[in-house]
Amino acid sequence: MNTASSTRHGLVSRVVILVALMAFAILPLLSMLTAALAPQNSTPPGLAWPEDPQWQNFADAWTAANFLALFQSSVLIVLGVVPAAVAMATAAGYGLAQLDVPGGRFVNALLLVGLTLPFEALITPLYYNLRDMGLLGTRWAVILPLIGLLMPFGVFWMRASFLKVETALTEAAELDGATPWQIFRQVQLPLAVPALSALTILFFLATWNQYLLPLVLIDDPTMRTVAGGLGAFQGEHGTNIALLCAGSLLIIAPSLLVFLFFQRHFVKALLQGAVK
Amino acid sequence: MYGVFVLYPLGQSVQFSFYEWDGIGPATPAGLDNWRAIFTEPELLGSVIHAFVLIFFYTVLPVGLGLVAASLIRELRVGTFNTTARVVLFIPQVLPPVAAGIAWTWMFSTDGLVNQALGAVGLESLTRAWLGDFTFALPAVGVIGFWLSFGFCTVLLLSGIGKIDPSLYEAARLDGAGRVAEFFAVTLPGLRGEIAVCATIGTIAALASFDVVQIATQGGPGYQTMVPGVEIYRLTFLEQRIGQASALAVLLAALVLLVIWPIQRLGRHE
Amino acid sequence: MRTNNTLPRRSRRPSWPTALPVVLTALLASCGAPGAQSPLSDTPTSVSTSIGDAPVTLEVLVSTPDVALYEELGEAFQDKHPNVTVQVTGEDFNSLTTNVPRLISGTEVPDLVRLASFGNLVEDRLLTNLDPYAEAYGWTEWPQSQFASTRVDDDGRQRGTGHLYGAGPGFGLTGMYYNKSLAAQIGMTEPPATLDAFEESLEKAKDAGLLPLMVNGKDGGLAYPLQNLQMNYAGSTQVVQDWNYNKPGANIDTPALVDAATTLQSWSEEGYLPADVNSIDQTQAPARFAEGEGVFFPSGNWQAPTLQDAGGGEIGFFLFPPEETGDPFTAMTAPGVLAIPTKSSQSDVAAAFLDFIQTDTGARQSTLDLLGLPPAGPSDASLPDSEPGSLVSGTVESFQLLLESDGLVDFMSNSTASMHANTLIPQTQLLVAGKTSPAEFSAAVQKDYEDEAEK
Repeated sequence: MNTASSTRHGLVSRVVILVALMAFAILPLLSMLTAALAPQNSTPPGLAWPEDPQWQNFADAWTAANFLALFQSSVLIVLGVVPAAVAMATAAGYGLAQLDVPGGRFVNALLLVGLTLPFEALITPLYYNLRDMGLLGTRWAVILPLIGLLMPFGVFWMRASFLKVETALTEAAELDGATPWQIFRQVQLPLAVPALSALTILFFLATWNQYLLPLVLIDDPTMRTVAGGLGAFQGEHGTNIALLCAGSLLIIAPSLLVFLFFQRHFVKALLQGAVK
Repeated sequence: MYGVFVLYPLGQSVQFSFYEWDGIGPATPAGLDNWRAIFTEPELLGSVIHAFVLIFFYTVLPVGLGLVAASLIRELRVGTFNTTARVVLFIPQVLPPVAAGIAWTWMFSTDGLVNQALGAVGLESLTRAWLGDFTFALPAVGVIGFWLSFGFCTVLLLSGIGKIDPSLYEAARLDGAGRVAEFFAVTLPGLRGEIAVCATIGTIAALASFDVVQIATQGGPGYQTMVPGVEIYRLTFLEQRIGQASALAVLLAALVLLVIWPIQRLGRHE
Repeated sequence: MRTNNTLPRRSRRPSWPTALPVVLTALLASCGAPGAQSPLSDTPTSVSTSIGDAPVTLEVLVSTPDVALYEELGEAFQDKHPNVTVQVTGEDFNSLTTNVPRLISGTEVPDLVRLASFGNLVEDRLLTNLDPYAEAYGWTEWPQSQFASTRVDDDGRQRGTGHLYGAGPGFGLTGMYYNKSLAAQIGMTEPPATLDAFEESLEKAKDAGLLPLMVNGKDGGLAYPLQNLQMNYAGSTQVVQDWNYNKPGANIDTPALVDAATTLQSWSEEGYLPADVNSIDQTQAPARFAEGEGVFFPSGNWQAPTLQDAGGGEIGFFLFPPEETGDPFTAMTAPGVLAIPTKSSQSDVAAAFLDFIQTDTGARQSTLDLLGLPPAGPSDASLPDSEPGSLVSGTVESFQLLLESDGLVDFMSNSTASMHANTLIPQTQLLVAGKTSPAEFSAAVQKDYEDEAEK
C-alpha cells in the first residue's frame, strides 16, 4: 500500500465520520419535520417523508398556540433586554479593561460569582422581590432580571475584547490630545465591533430561548417568550404529534435563522472568545 | 441592575434557607433543618446525585468523543464543506433547550425514530418507551444533553487543534510516535484551554438542567430523573417550601463553583 | 441558557476569596425574617346579589381544556348581564396548580380561579369565604353533600366541615371504560359485577393476546384503580375520606392500602398494563384506547365526550365493581372547583357567575356537553339532556346512582397540594415497575402526607 492511497483512504474515512456527526446533529430536527408534515392525529413513523405533506399543519399550529401574540411578546422582551444589556456590558467592560477604575478588581470578583450562578438559585427570591416591586406579570419582570443575569458574561466578554487592544494605540491617541471619550468612540469601539456583534447574537439567543424566567414570572401565557409558551403548547397538544412538531419547528425557526444568517461571524467570534 | 437582580437575591436565598416559610404567611427560623433534609430526604439527595450523573453525559462524553472525532478529522480541510460541517454541528447549541426536549421526547417515544431504527436492524426486543423506563430514563435525558453539547465541543476542539504548532506534530513523528502516542503527547496538552471551556459549559448545563427535564420527563418515572432545578421549582411553587428550595438552590450554586474551580485551574495554560 | 456561560480565559485573574465578603455583605443586607404581612380578612363585609349596571370585566382563569366551556358560559352570562364582560384565560393544568398560590397573592388577581387543592390558601386568607353568598343565593337549601369537599375548617386544613370556599359547574366521576367489541372477544357481554369477575376478565384478555388495561401512568392514572381497590378492601370509604379531608390523625397506611398496592403490582407483573405505562399521559391513553388498544381504561367522565366521538359507539362505561354482588358502588369525584380570591375586586359579580353556572339550564347543558360533567345544584333542577344509551348518558346515570348510595369520595390526589405530583405519580410508577414494595409504598404515601400537613 503506497502513501497516496492510504491518505485517500484516511480522507474518505474522515469525511464519513464528519458526515455521521452532522447527521447526529440534525437527525432530531429532520424527524420532527417529517412528523410535522404527517396528517394530524395520526401516528407518524420516526423518519419517513409523508406521501402527502400537510404544510397547513404549520398554519394550524400558528393559530392553535396563538403564536402571533407569543412572537410579538418575544420580540418586545428581546428589544427590552438586548440593546440595554449590550450597552451596559460594553461600558462596564471598557471601564474594567482600559480605565483604572478604583475597586475594579473587586467588581471583577463580584461578577465572577455571577458567571457560574444557575438561574434556579435565584428564581425564588427574584419572584418575591418582583412581586413586592409590583412588576410581577409584566414583561419587565423578565426583562430587568435577565439584563442583570446576562451582565457577568457580557462584561467579561467585552473586557476580554478591550484588553486585546494594544496599549500603544491608546497612548498614541492620548499624545494626540484625545479625551477618554474620543478614545473610546474612535479607537476602541470600532476595534470591538466583532465582539460586540457576537455578544448581541448571544444575548438574542439567550433571551429568545429563555424558558424558566417567563414561566415563573409572567402569569399570562400570551405575554411570555415563545419558548415559554411552547411548554404550555406541549401540555395541550401532546397527542397531536404533527401539530406539536410543527409548533416546535416554528419556535426553533428564528433562532436557527439568526444563527444561519450570522453564522460565519458568529462561530468565529464564539471560538475566539471562548479560548482567548 | 446586577446587584438588585443577582447579588441581593443570592443573599436572600442564603437567608431563606435557614427559615421555614410558605411564601405568604410569616416565616419561622428553622436552623439547619432545611440543610439536613437535603442529605436525609432521598428525593432531594437523589436529585443532586442525578445532576452528577448528568455531568458524565453533558461533559465527559462530549469532550471524550469530541477529542476522538476532532483528532480523527484533524487534517480535513475541504473549504466550504468544512464550513457547512461547522455550522451543522453547531445547530443544537443555538436552539431553545425546550425545543430540544420536545424533539427528543418524540425521538424516544414508542413510535419514535430511536425505536424505528432499532427495529430496522432487527433489534425489536430492545425497543421501549425510553423516557418512561426506570433504567434508561436518566441516560436518555443524558443523551439529550450530549446532543446539545457534542457538536459545540467538537468544533471548538477542532479549531484548537488547528492552532497547535504543526512543528510539534512533526517532532513527535520524528521521535517515532504513533497516532495514539502523538495524541497524548501533543494534541491533549495543546487543547487544555478548549477542554476546560467545554467542561465548564457542560458542567453548568448538567448541574443547572431544568428546561430539558421539565419538558421531557418532569422528573419521572418515579423520581428517576429528578434534578435540583426541577426540585427547586416544585418546592417553591407547588409545595411552597421556600426555605427548603433556597437551601437546595444555595447548595446547587456552591456545587457548581466547587466543580468548576478545579476544571478552570487545570485549563490554565501557564 | 447555555451560550452565556462561555468563560473568556482572561477573566480568571481575580481570585475567588475576594468575592466571599461580598456575598456575606449581600447576606447582611437582606436581614430580617421574610413574609411578615398583616393578615387579610377572608369574609366579605357586605355581599350583594345585584351586580349593578356599571361595565365590569370578570377575569376567569381555568385550565386549558376547560377554556371552551367557560367561554360559552361567559357568553351566556353576558347575554343576561350586558354590562359584564367575561374574560377567560387558560393555563395548562400542571402549571395552573403550581402557580395558583403565587398568582392570587399577587397584585393583579383573577376574579375566579380553578383550583385542584386548597393547600395553604385558606390558612393564608387568600380565598373568599362564600358562606354569605351561599346564604344570599339559597345554596344552603340544596343537597349539601355537593359542597362537602370545598368546605374548610377554621384551622385551614380539615375539609368537609367549616366555611365554603369553592363551587363549580359540574362533577368529575371515575369508573371503567371498556371496548365492547374486544370485550365480546373474551366472552364478556355485560360489565363484571364483582372485582373477582373483573380480574377474571383481565386474565382472559391477556390470554386472548389483548392488552387488558390501558392506563396513563405518566400523570397519575394508576391512582384511580389503586384508590378503588383500597376502598373495596377496606369495605368502607371512611378511612380514605377522613384522610382526604385532613382530619387530625388520619392515616392511610393500612392493610387495605398495602393490599391494594399488592394487587396493582400483581396486575403489572401479570402483564395487564401496557409495557410503556409510565410514559403514557392522559391525552395519549384515551386516543390509544379509542383506537382499540386495551379492553379496559380506568378514567373519568371528563373523557366521555371525546371517547363517545372517537370510539364510534364501541365504548361503554361501568363503575368499578364492588367485592360482592350487591355491595354499594364507590367512585372518586370532585367538583371543578372555582374559588374567588380575596383580592378580587369583583366578588359580587363572581358569585353571581357561580350561581348562574350551577342553576341556569343552558349553562348546565353546556357543562355536560363540553366536559361530560354532570351538574349538581338544587335538588329540583332538571338534568341536562344526553342521548339515551350514549356513553355520556351512561356516566350521568352512574353519577345519579352514586349520589343516592353516598358512594362518592374525593380523590387521594387532592388531599394535599403536592400529593398528586410529588407522591402518587412517582410512587405508583415505582410500584408497577417493581421498584418499591406495597408496604414501602403505603408508608411513603403516609409519610409525605404528614410532612405536608405539618408544614
